[in-house]
Amino acid sequence: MAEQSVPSDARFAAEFNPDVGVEQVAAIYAEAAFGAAESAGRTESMLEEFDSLIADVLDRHPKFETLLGSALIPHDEKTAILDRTLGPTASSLMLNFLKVVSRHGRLDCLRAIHRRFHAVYDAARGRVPVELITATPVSDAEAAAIAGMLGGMVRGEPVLRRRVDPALIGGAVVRVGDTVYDGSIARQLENVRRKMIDRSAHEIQSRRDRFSNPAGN
Amino acid sequence: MKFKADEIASVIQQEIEHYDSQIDVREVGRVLEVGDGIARVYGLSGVMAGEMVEFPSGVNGLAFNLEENSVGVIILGDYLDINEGDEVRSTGQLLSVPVGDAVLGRVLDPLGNPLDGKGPVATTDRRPLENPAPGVADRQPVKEPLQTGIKAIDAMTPIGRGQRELIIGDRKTGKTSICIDTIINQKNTGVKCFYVVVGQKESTVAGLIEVLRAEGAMDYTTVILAGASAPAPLQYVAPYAGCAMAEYFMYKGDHALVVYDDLSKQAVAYRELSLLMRRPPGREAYPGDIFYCHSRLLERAAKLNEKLGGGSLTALPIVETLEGEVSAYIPTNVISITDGQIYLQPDLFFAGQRPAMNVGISVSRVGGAAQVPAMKRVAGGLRLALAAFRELEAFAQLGTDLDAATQARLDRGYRMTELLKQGLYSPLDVIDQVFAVYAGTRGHMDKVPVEEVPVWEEGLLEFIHEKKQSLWDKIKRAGDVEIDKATGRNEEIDAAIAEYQDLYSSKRQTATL
Repeated sequence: MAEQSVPSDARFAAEFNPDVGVEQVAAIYAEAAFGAAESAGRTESMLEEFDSLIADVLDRHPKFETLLGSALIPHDEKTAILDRTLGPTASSLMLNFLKVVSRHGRLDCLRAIHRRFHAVYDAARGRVPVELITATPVSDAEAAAIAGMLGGMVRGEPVLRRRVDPALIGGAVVRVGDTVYDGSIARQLENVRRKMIDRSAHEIQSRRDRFSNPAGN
Repeated sequence: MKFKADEIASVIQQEIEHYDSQIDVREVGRVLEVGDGIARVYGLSGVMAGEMVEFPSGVNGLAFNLEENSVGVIILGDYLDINEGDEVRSTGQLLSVPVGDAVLGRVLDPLGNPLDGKGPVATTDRRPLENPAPGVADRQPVKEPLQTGIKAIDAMTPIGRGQRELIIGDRKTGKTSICIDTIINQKNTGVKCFYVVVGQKESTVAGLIEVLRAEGAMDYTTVILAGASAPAPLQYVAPYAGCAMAEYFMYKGDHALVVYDDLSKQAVAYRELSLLMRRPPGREAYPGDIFYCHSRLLERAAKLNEKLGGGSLTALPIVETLEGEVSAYIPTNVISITDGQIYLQPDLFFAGQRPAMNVGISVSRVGGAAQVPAMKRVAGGLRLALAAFRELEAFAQLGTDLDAATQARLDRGYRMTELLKQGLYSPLDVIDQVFAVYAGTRGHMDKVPVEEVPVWEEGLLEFIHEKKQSLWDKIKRAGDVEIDKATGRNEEIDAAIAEYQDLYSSKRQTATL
């Protein structure tokens, strides 16, 4: 089982972005950044740097993020700020990338770009993000076993992300992309409930007299 | 009613015993935004256009717009129960409605759910809403008549089984009444009727259903109701639902009649959906595929060939015009799709001519072949004569002196228009119509005062049924009358009407004395 490419859960917390337009823009920048990193042969380090930028800088200094995203501050000033704050530590590749994004006024999409970057990276490395939802926490060994089973189903290497949802009662739900494989007890109970209602309604409709009590009324 | 607990328990037990747990595989997306009967969904990457999707509240939707990053879904039900972020699952099924004998006599919504409080529809048969129309090889020409029971229509713009006849006119000109009369007249003919209500006032519809019930027409009629308060998606799919239910009988070899009341409201609902989905607006802000929306619906009306059972589906679409504007977008579209139209005019309506049909511009392009031969012989030339009369009437209003021949033609015309008037919910048998039209066109009424024509006609039909039933039966059996080519007359009928005429005038004399 491959470890997921970012240790923190931060990137999944904001996974659902209702703004489809931002996602579309972010996909383009992420592709470009990934291409540049690949040809420089420094994809992994770039990824690490990007994770750290989100987790250590933007998460901790929300005002800095607002400043970068603001349209009131001109590009020149933003580059100067980037040079002063990140310049000493960031790689030239990362810094250039941020400046390019800044020049197009898209620094507000940085989190979306980061998310897409991971997606592009995972896809290029043949990794398939899989969400595993269970009623109780699963051990690493169990998770590895499940990942092994999933290996045959998904094209590529499954990257598990675990989540606990007590509402499932038991069993597991696996989500790959838009497809959900639901083996939870809650769903099975729901299925049984629906089937029983359907069947009973059908039986009543097909022979209405069968269920009435001749003695009663 | 008491239930037998052990019977129910056994059913439930069987169900549990036969239940084998399967992993539930589904394709999901999330609701981005919802409102006005539509939802925008992120995900659902494998969904197909027209596929049914399910919201967590149990409400169904229809994938309507497939875009690069989202799917536009029209919600068939209560959209207020759906929240942003809800999980939407695709079902892999097309929208379908229950069909079969069980739907007859019911009032259903466009999804087949009962609205009449008579419990669920007891049938397992379903048909998809959208079904391709039969191809050319599957059809045969329209050849059997579908009697509306209305003299003016059956005589001059006859409708055949499998035809699509548009009924067009301004508001309050009697469009719905013609269709209700037609439905009532299908009693004992085996034709199953489907009355699709789109965007009409529900109080009016309740009244119509009551009329149908009182006339005994609900036994073979289904009402598919998407009233004015129904959300646009339901109004949009209602005609397709009605068509699917009617088609079931056509493919079974039976005959069905479906009335769409009315398609202009459906077009408005479709326009609303399309604009909400940001499809580009065209003329009158209707989307580009509004023509296809109606043509694919009306093309499903057909007369099938004998190999497929020879069933038929007749469609009577209704279109409402504004201020007689037939050249508006929807009226011209539907006129070009249908096999003729019955045009109703407000000025005729207010002049007391009911049905307020404008004979000159109402046509039936295929019904002539399906007309009962007797009627065809008797009513031939009636249309032209009436059109000539209207022209003459306009000329006569100038006040010029008229020669005797012209005056005679005018008098005949006044009596003919009077004869073509017909009361609400009182359809006539076609042979009765033959007698009435014969009497009118052959000049038997020329001596009857214009205002007495309806009474005279009623008396004639009564007389025929009482005294000349054998002649009536003979024509009914043959479906034809012998008309002398030279004189254009049939002696037997002439004699019968003359006998009645004597009776009538003597009765009238005693009444005046």
